[in-house]
Amino acid sequence: MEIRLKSSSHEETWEIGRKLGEKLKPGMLLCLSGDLGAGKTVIAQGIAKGLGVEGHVTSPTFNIVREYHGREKFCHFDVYRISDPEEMFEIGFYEYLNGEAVCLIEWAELIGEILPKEHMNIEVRYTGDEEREITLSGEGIYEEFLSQIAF
Amino acid sequence: MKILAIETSGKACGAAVLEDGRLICEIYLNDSFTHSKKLMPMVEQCLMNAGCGIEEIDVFAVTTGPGSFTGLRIGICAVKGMAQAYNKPVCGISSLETLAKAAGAKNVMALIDARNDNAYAAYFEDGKCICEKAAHIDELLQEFPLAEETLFLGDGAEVLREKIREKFPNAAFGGAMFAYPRAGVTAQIAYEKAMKNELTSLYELEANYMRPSQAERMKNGI
Repeated sequence: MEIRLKSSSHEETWEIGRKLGEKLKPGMLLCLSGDLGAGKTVIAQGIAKGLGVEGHVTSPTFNIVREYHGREKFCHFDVYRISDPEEMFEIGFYEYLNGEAVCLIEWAELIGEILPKEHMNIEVRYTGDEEREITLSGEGIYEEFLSQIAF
Repeated sequence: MKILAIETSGKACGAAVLEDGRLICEIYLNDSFTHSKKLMPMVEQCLMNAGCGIEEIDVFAVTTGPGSFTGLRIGICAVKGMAQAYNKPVCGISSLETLAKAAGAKNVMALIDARNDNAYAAYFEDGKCICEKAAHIDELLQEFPLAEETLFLGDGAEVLREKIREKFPNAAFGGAMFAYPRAGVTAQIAYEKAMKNELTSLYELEANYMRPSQAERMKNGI
């Protein structure tokens, strides 16, 4: 299942993230990909807000992962600096997937081969200077989840 | 001889005190990966229940893998710390062997879930490890010389039950009570090793994550 959304500003992108975040359940895994500078982190910030996380959320490019506590536990990954997917094991990645947190991974395509088969994909692409196209897709429980959200 | 064993390789964690081959006390806790918080109080409680001071422990044992990266390191570090403080030897035991030896069956396949239908696996015949590998369940069921009446144990056996039944319709399963390694069994295996003088210095104790090596991954084109 695929949902395509259009955004013409940072604020709209953020709002899409927030609406999504409000509905996310612990154990869900989101894989965020897209053009450099297109707004991946903005969506992540919106999602965090929707999950009840207060405070500043930035891309954990250097820390690899940051944990936040909102309505749900939110684990925000940025795997840009991971050079070998096996490194993910060594940062205890699999322990994060134990079902208690919502996990979001930026640059997830770099570690594709070790990701659980079932997850939600979020893609952010440029369609103009300010305009973006945001595609949400997923199978199984994520298909059901997406079919029930109104954007 | 008194043995203190710790088990933190999976979702459950545990501590056990064994004296001269007899398990005195075991504490088991399966409460979502809170090992770092709960382990040392469990160790303390276990020693107290066994009426044993930590200074009386002769050998510190721990499961060294495979399993959770963070979990294994918590257990290994705890054991290293205690062994160093009391200048005692340590014993590292396989989590797969610990699973397998909980049941007294002739043919046992221990499986630890590694996600996406993969598992860490070891096949035992009469208590001896025949083969051990981390791979996709189809590959494991194909390659391992499993007997028809093999007993399947471990959380991997629970997750992969359907796939196992397809190939081994008469397979037996240990079920939930045999899903995670037990510290009491770790202690027992450590005792047998101690009797044969197969102990290590804490400085040589290492984790065995059973991950594919760099060379293997490059060979498989990853």
